[in-house]
Amino acid sequence: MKQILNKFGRIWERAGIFIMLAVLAAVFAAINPDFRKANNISNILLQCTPIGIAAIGMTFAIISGAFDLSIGSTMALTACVTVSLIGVLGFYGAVAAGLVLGFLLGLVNGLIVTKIRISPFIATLGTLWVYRAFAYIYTQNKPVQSTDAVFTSWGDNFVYVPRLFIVMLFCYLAGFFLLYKTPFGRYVFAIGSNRRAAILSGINVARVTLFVFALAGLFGAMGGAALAVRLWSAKADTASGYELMIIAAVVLGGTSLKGGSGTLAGTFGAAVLFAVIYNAMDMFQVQSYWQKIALGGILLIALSLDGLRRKYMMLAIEPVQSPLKDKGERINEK
Amino acid sequence: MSQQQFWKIWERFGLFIIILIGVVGLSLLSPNFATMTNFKNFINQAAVVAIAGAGMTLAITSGGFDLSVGSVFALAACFGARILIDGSVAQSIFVSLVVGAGIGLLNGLIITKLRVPTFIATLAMMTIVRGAALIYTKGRDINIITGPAREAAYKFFGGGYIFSLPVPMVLMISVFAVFYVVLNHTAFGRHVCAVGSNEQAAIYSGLNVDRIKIAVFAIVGLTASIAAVIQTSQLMGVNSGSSGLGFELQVIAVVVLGGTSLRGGKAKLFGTMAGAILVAIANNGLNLYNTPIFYQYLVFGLILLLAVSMDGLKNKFYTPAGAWAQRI
Amino acid sequence: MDSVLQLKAVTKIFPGVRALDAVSFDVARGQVHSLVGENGAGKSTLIKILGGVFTQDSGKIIFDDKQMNFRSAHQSQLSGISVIFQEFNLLPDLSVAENIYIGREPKKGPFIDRRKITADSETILKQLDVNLDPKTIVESLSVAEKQMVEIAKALSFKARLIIMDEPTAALSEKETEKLFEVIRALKARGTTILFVSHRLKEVFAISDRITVLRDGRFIATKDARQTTEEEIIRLMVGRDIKSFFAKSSDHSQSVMLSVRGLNFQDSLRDISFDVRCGQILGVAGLMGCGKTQLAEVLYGLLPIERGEIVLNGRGVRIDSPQKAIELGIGFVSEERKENGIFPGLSVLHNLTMAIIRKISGWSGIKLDRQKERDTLRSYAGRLDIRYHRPEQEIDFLSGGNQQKVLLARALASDCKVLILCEPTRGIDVGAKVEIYSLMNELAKKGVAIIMISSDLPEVISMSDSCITMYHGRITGYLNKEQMTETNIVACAVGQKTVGIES
Repeated sequence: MKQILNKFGRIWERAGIFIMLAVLAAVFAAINPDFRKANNISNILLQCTPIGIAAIGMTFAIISGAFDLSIGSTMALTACVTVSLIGVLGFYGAVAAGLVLGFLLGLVNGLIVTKIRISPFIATLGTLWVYRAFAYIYTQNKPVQSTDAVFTSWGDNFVYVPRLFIVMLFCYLAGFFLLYKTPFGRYVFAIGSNRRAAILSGINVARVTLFVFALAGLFGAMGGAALAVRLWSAKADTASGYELMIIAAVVLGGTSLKGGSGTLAGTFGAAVLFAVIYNAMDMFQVQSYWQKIALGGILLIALSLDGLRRKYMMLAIEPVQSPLKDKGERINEK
Repeated sequence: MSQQQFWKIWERFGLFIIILIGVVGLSLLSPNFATMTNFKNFINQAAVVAIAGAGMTLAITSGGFDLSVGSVFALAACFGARILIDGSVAQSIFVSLVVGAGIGLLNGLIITKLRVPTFIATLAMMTIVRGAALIYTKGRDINIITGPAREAAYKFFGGGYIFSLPVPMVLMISVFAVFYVVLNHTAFGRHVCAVGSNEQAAIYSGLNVDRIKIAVFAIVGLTASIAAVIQTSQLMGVNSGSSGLGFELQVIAVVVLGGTSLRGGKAKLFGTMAGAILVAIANNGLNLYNTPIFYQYLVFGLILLLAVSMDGLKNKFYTPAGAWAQRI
Repeated sequence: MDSVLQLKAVTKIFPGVRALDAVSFDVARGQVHSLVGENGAGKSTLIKILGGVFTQDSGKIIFDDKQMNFRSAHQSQLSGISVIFQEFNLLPDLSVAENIYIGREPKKGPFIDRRKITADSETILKQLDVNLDPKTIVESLSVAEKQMVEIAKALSFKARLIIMDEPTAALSEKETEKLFEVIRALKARGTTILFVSHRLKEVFAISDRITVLRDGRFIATKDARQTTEEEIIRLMVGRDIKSFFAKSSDHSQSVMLSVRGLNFQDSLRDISFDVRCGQILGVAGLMGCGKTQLAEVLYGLLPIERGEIVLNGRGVRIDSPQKAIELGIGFVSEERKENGIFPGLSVLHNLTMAIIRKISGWSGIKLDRQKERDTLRSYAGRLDIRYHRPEQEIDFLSGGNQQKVLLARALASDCKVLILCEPTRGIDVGAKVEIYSLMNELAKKGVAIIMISSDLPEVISMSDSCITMYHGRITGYLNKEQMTETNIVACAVGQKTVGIES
């Protein structure tokens, strides 16, 4: 019995989010045929792009043991700036400007953390407000719009698949490469796992941390641009509350808040899962208020399962009561 | 004065010094600042955040935190407002408090019994409770229109005076006094610190850590609902969509500003109160100059960063350099 | 024999390993009974069972003639057994008094009776002849003082059996002596002590009887006065260990590292010495003498305020560990868990962390998996590192194997100078031998090794020469003949100097 639980636990650990996704999608599709329509699916894929892309940077941050609470504000600020510059620089120029801005905003976060030695939680809590204020000040609290043709065309599909989703895929590919195929990615894991050991191994922790925050800002800006494309506009209060949603997606996907371990694929799955759930709720005409409850409930259920899994996987090793940490007892410490 | 002495003084009194500077500065700059009405304005604002901050300080000291206080605030306010229309003041307040404590209890249970990480648990509750508030009010505002006696009685909590001091201020001081005594002189309070200090040691020492955490979360919810009563009394109404939005981050920021370490084990209660007052003064100053409301965000963020920078820089320059201190 | 504790066929099985296999032995009342064994022998599991952290799978534990089945740590404490773990179980932000009486605070109404809790704590501390203000916050205490708080806590529970897990690991010689005094006083009062340690010299100094465990099995209990260190080692290891003869030192080798006039705040004063290629230089001294800071300076963790370092003939500035690695300096920290391993990461990643950039393709952008695995395989072979698969989490390796991985990490970057801090701390005898032979091998290849160790026998047998430090200064340059325990200790406590011209 314990063996079975253990096996199940291991499978869940690696692919849980995709199992949930598959199950839910199947259930919804079965209940309502409209769900399966190509139209609807592309809608879902479109919906998940802003959070999906921004979550890439956040995944890096959380794996390295940090946090970026300012990502929602970054998305808003860069979105507003981008849209406002479309007339001046053309669409691609404006997006580039937005990306550079995002990168810089992230860099500022990184500098506050590395140079002034403030913890990421507090530092990004502060910049969350400051960047949001900048968004308000820049737009004077008025929405920014553009009807530029190139701009709006990016909201369309490319052979049934939303162009934005394709962009998201490329972003994830880039993320995968950075995280799993470069020394930098390895260093991100190392720093989150044991910062001192990372220093002793010759890793320039300050530089890596700086880049991780800049990356978060960059992907945030990308997500902000995606959001703007979807809405054809941007406002100062765009993406309010997104930071918590994005972190939730990363954690739901299987990345631990403690740092040192994580999965980009999981983040991807979680972002899509959120979109699927929202879509289904709209489809079933669940009142928007109930949607909030449903989303929260799903988060709870998913993570209770995870928490219980960890508790019982430990049980497979020894009895309750033991206040041991997640990893289970070091077998060889006698 | 040596650098060491400077930092020691700063650590204990820094916040109060800034408040003093702010008060003096604004009094000089604006004739409207140093009036009783204005004082009442900002101290009442401060009280709302401060009281919730007391609870949050307890939570952070125990090693946790609660992201759902904003939504709890809203729900408690909605229930309180709705009930006041037909029920008595006592009933209204009672229900608000029960709602707050109850949701806090639920948070505690989810975190301890279901082992959901605190961040996710309170985040999820934040959305769920907000949804509940919206459903309860069907998304509409509640304006409290009821008998004049009842209105006056309820308004007392947000706008009245006791011993010629504003009621919220008195409530704030009372709450902090109680918290101080509990935290420092009761076994429960010391156990809360113990849990935040070294949870494993606390368990080994036989403390019922789960029960302590559940109690702490219930208290957080309770203080949030007290704060909600005060604000609802000030506004005589509530909007379920916007009430308490962003409140949780405000409250956490104030606690951090006050010097309580996020690692837990050490509580700086009066720092939290000072932090809330400082922010309220800053916002008040902005209001006096009719700056658009979103500048408050800027000020909030900058104050937080500046205050905590001082802390960070202090560690950099004041603490003797160790091998690890230099290397982020 | 009046036994306070009897273990009968205690067994504990974890997935894949029998941590304890029908262990039976008795502990006599009022004695100091030591428990020794290699890593993996079962000591830690046994302690945890006695401490109530887990329960045995089968077998009986009889304490004070009553059969015990501890379901929690607290229950075990209430029954009269107190365990003092190596990492302590203290609450750093609370006071000494609060720590001692946590969960049992004397009350006056709803409030804690401050006067009583302070007075009671003072009484207990006085019994231990310890001078501590019960109101002090534990965080600010030294390791030795924290240990005293733990012992006071045990006394407050009227513990009849106190189990100490590696109590002297972080203590200075003086503090160890003080601890032994306390233990003897406890013994005089009838308290039984179970002393678990790797340090045989201390075990022999303090114990009445010694029990040896190996591979989870009980091997023997011997009267301390009727056995020898060699016999105990033989029982621990199950085979004869040849004693160690370090290779002969070769003075004609060139100087690899030369240090002149190093200074750093109060911790390092005017430090000068040379290390030659192929030489093992021992560094000995008490806690706080500056040897840790010396290592940190040489590895770029601390800046030098004055002085110079010459590496292979060129003056160098070592700004950071990164620079140190580039210059060919390797380092293995003394805190394996805190500073060494990456928990949660695989054995492969742990080993290659320092060199992945060097061996990656596309000029340092793309990781080269194959080369990484090759590196792992080659070092695992050389050092005999035992693991299941490269992807296995390092957490599941034994202490000795983890240390070897860390060693390999330093070696992989082709260092010419290797700084080792307490290289065999907390490692079983078998693995120790392997590490020593590796050190010899490296020295033969021309690597200059600086070995900082508080294990005197290790320093004496492995070093070609050694320096002693005291209060930040070098008090002795000892060659092979001068390296006796007496000399080293005398220099380390500042009593005399050797090899220093005035």
